[in-house]
Order: sequence, then structure tokens, then C-alpha cells
Amino acid sequence: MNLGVAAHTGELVIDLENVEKTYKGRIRALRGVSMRVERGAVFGLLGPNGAGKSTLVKILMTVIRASKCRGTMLGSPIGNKNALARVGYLPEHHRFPEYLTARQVLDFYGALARVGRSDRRSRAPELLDLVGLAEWTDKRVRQFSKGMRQRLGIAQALMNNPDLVLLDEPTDGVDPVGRRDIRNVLSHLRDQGKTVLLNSHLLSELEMVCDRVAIMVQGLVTSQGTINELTEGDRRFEIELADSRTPDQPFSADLLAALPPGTRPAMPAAPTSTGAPTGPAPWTGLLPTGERVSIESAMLRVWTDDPARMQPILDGLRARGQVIRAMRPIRPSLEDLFMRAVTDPATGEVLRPGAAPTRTENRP
Amino acid sequence: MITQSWAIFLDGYRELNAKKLFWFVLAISLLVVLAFAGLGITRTGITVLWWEIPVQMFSRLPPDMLTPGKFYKFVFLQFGIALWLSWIATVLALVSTASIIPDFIQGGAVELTLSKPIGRARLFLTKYLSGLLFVLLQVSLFTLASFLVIGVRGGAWEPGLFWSIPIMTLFFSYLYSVCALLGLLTRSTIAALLLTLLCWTGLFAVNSLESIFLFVRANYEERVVAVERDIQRLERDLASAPADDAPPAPPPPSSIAPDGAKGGLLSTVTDALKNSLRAPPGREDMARRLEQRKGLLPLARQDLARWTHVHEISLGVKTVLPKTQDTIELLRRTLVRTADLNAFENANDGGDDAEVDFQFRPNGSGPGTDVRVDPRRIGQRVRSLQDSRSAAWVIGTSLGFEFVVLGLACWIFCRREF
Repeated sequence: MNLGVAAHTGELVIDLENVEKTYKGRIRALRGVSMRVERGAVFGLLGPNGAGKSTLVKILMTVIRASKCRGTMLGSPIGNKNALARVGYLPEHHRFPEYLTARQVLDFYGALARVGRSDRRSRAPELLDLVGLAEWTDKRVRQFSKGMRQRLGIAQALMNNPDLVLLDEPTDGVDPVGRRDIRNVLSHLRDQGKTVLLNSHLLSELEMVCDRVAIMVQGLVTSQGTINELTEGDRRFEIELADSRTPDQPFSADLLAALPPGTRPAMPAAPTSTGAPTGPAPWTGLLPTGERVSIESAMLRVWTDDPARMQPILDGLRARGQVIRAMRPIRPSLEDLFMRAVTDPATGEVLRPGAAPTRTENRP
Repeated sequence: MITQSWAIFLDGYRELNAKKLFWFVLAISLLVVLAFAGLGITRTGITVLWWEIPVQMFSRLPPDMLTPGKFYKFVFLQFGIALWLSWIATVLALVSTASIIPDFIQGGAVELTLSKPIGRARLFLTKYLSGLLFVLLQVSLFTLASFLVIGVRGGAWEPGLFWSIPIMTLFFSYLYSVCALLGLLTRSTIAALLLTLLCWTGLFAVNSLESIFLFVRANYEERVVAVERDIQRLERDLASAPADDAPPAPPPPSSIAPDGAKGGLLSTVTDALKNSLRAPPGREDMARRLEQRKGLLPLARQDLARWTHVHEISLGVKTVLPKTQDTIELLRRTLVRTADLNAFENANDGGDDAEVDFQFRPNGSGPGTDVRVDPRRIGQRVRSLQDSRSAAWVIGTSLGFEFVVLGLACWIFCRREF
């Protein structure tokens, strides 16, 4: 995860309130999306297939029209042409005219974005160099590989020196070297104070570059914030102990006795979708200081990110003669967040992909 | 705004430039012009490089008609425009450009352009106009080459030839507007192309039907005029003819103009004319013929009214549709005087000024009665009726259709979710 400090000003580059989109066939792709992106942020939009991510981006770029939309982009209503002139966009599965060379592609789309001729001439080689296509400047797009087209697409999105860049799956089809290069480009953009909205399935990619993320599921933003904020409740320490159980014990009674006085059991057990192992039901409780604690086999978990809170527990374990094999801080990954978002809390099953048809909502 | 429009036009040119068919059509155009340059004219015939093909008609043409300048203009119109550009090159142009709109709205491509700060209607219309570049460039080069050939070989530097550039582009734009709409609706190049060719065939059929009905109408107009003229002549002759000493009447026309082939009819008519010259008809016969003509007149007028009605319906249908043939005819009007064309046709028909009798059989029954109608007069009447249609009417109504089609396409493009 990138914890670099971006020059956030608090100014909202994207401010959406209750965006809805219902396609013909009554498929509700968006069911009231509210989202805020601050200037200078690298903002990740993630969600399963059919969650409505691309639909939302297309609405911002006027490719499709929202059924209901209240909000602004770069301080102007959605669809404002002057605002669009300050936005760079790379669509998913984009297709450039095959008869154009890389330079001509940048020149053409730059002109459509109202970039003057002299600026286009100077920016095209710079951007092609930035994305690693300098040697391919005058080659036709039909000769380009998928990864090269993605790089060219990113260069195209930057032709108008945009304040806001929307990239829909920019690393799709790109090899690891190319992904690293694209990450470098994104870092470069952040250093320049640009705002980037990144839509990707590659959670590890997002984790490495994004300051903030929003998770969309079935047409709704279920959570948004910094990765720290989103994982705050799930950070914990794990203490791995030598297993001293008898075969009939789910966990050693000494472990329970080693916990600080005043620890009390808590029921029911918390859902285990955040990465905790499944198996025999663990013992869960609350420490006197309020942190959640669980014991499962020879593993003791305490939900806190403060190492000082762990010291009395370690002392207690040592006093009871427990052998501590390891203690490690655990911070949930973006994938954990994602899986939690797409898991039905009632059933524990992963929600099916796709948008939400209105018909199903009307059923009792 | 200019930057964006220019970029779309430049892209349109690059797209055409990348198509092999563009260069293929251009090469054939130049070959056509070269073939055109290989033709020549003398007082006795046409020369093809070093060979001369005798043409008898040329001896009947007045000397001022047989100038190389007029000959080349005629060839330019009849072959360069009417055959090559109007049909063959237009089909090839449609094949080349039918893919422009379907490719433009293809997923992955359209998002890139729609996301730019340009209005959808302007985007679509500019893209449509860039599709006309194919024909504009082809016709411009063809016309320029033809202009040089006519100037160098024919000695006539005719700037009027350059009217073919806007007129042919206009003609193509009617078809291309339909092609653009169909491409937008079907998203398929093949479907757009085939359906456009079908529409073109339909337009050709409507135009041809209107021309046929116009010809039939002109024919009946001429018949009414002929009958009225006969009545006036017979009344005049009857008034001046002596009362008693009437010579023997010649055989009635119905008996000397039996049903049969045109050749037989012509010979009997000629015989009848000779007879009538030898022996003027008697008073009684004239009176009988006068009555016959008076009886025919209401029937002729009735037929004329019926065919006028039919023609007006076809003209009404044609009015709301693009007039492909009439648009090209405007170029003919610009380049060739109608009088020259009539003289050329007269020479082609053998230069005989004699009228030809046609059978007039009201309601297809009853005694056959001849009414003299000159087919060249019918042709000239048709041409004069067609020429009376102003360029503003031809272009205005056709553009009206085009605007409606483009308006519909724009509306769909602006509202569609991509």
C-alpha cells in the first residue's frame, strides 16, 4: 500500500451524490452511488465484474447518460465540455485506428481534446518517451502488442495535460515490467499534483499506488476511504505458541488463564471473512481495555494495532510458561477488504457477479 | 472548434489513404481519363489512337456541332459522369466508405471520441462529412484530369467542368446519408452497404417510373395537341373547300394504317401522305374526319388527365426523395445546351423531319384512328418539362431528404448509450 503523502487540498475533484443508472431491460447498474475524490489523490475504484465501475466512469465521461445524477467534476456539472477538456480518459478495451501511427494517435486525440498544434507537437514525443514507446513513435498501431496499446492509451489520456485522469483497467494485458512502468507513471502524475481515478481488478496494483479506494458492489459504493481507514477495525496481532493442548482440547486452558484479569468471553464469534482461519469454533472475548481477543488452537489474536497493549499479554504468557514462537502484526490486504465487501454477511457466501436487476428487488 | 473539425477531416483522409480501394479507384479514374485522351474526332468519325471508326451520323451534324470541345464534353458527360462516376465509382465509393460509421461507433473506439469536449451532433456530422472526402477527392482529380484533356486535346478550356465536383459530391451525399444512418442503426458495414444499394435501386426505380410516366404524359399531351391541331386544320379546310365537286376521297387512315410493325405503319403512312398530296380529301370526308377528331378529343383529354394524375403521384413521391438522376442531369444542363442535344438527336434519328403516325385507340377498342405524333417532339417536351425543374427544386428537395435522414441519425447518435 502506498502511504506517500499526496498534496491533498480538500478540494473535491469528483463529488457525486446518488448517481443512478438503469439500462434498458431494467438492469440497475448503479443504485445511488455517492463518491468523493479529493484533488491530488490516486483513487482506486474496485469491485467485482458488473459492479458498475465502468458505468460510473462512462457517466463521468458522458459516454452514457445517468438516469439520475447530482454532482460535479472539476467544479462543473457532469457533462460540462470545459471540464471534459481538463480530463484524460483511458477506456477499458479501447481501440485506436489501426492506420494511425503512435504520433498520429496522440495528435488526433489531443486535437479532439482542444490541445493546440504546437503543444501537441511538443507533448507527443515527451509522452511516448514517458510510457516507453519512444522508438515506436512512427510505427502504425496495427503493429503494436496489447501492452503497447495500453501504454499508448495512457499517453493519449495525458495529451491534454489533464487535472484529472480516469484510467479504466490500465494494466489489462500488460506484463509485469509494463505494470511497474505504469505504476511509475502514476507516481509521476501524483508528484505533479494530478488526480487519478483508477479502475482495476488487480488489487495488488491498486494497493501499491492508491491513497484512497472505493469498493463497489452491485451498483453501490459499499465503503470508501484510505486503506488505513478501511482496515482500521481489522488490524491485529497474532501470537503463535507452541502447541501444548491435549487431543481433546480445542485450545490450552493455560492460554485463557494467561490473559489479563477482567477478560470476559464475548459471543457470538466475529465473522472470519477477514482472513482468520476456519475450523473448530474459536474462543472469543474482550480484554478489560476493550480489544477483541480470540484463541484458536495454539494461536492467540488481539485486535489492536498498538504494540503496548500486547506487552501485558506477553508477560502473562511467559509467566504461564507458554513458548512464544512468533508474534506478528497483521494488517488486512485490499483483497481481504474486497472479499469482505463481496461476501454476504448473512450467508457467508460470495455475492454473485453482475448488476442488480430491478425485478429481483421487487420480489418479497 | 476548428482544431477538432480539422482533426476529424485529417483522420478521415488518413483512413481513406489507408484503404487500397481508394488508390484502386483513383488508378482506374486516371485510366478512364487516359482512354478519354486517346479518343479524337474528325468530320467522318471517331479516332481511337491511330484508328478511325467512321460514324455516318457526323455527316448530318451541322459543322458547329462537330467541334472537338463539344465532342469531349459529350464524352465526359456520357461516359465520365453518367457511367463511370455515377455508377461504377459511386458503388466503389460506397464500398470504401460504408465502414466509416460502423467503425466509428465500434466499442472501444467511440468512448475515446465521445469523452472529448465535442458535441455529439457536431462529432457525427463532421465524421459524416469526412466520409464525403472520398468522392470529393476522386471527382476533383478526375475532373482536373478531364479538364486538362479537353483543353489540350479538344482546345476547349471549359471551367464549367468543375461543377461536376460539387454536383457529384452532392449526389453521393444523398446515398451516403442513408448509408450513415443504416451503419449507425445496424453497426454493420455489410448490412449498411447492402441496404444502401437497395435504397439506391429503389430511388432509381422511383426516378425511372416518374420519367416513364412523364413520357407517357407528354405523349398524351402531344396527342391532345395533335387532335386539336387536326380539328383546327379540318375546320379551316372545310370552310374553304368547294361544296359540290368533291374529288374521290382517299381511303380512310384506319384502313391504310393496319395494325402491325412500325415499319409497315410508316410505309402506309407515307403512302397515305402521298395520296393526300395527290388528291385532296373531299368535303364529306373532311366532315367525317372532323367529327371523328371531335369525338376523339374528350377521350384524349380524359386519358391525358388520367396519366397526368398518375405522373403527379409519382412526382409527389419523387419530390420527397433524393433526385439522383436529376442532380446529375443538372451537370448536363450546365455543360451542354439543350439545342445542341436536340440537334444531336435529330442527326442520330436520320434527320428526317417527317411526323410519324401512331395508333390512337381509345379504351383499347373501336375503330383505329391515327393521330400524328412526332416522338422527337415528345422527347423534347419531356426534356423541356425536366429542364423546367429548377436546380433549386432538385437540390433543395433532395437536401431536404438528406437533412431529415441526417437529423434522424444525429438524434439517434446523440441519444444512444455506447
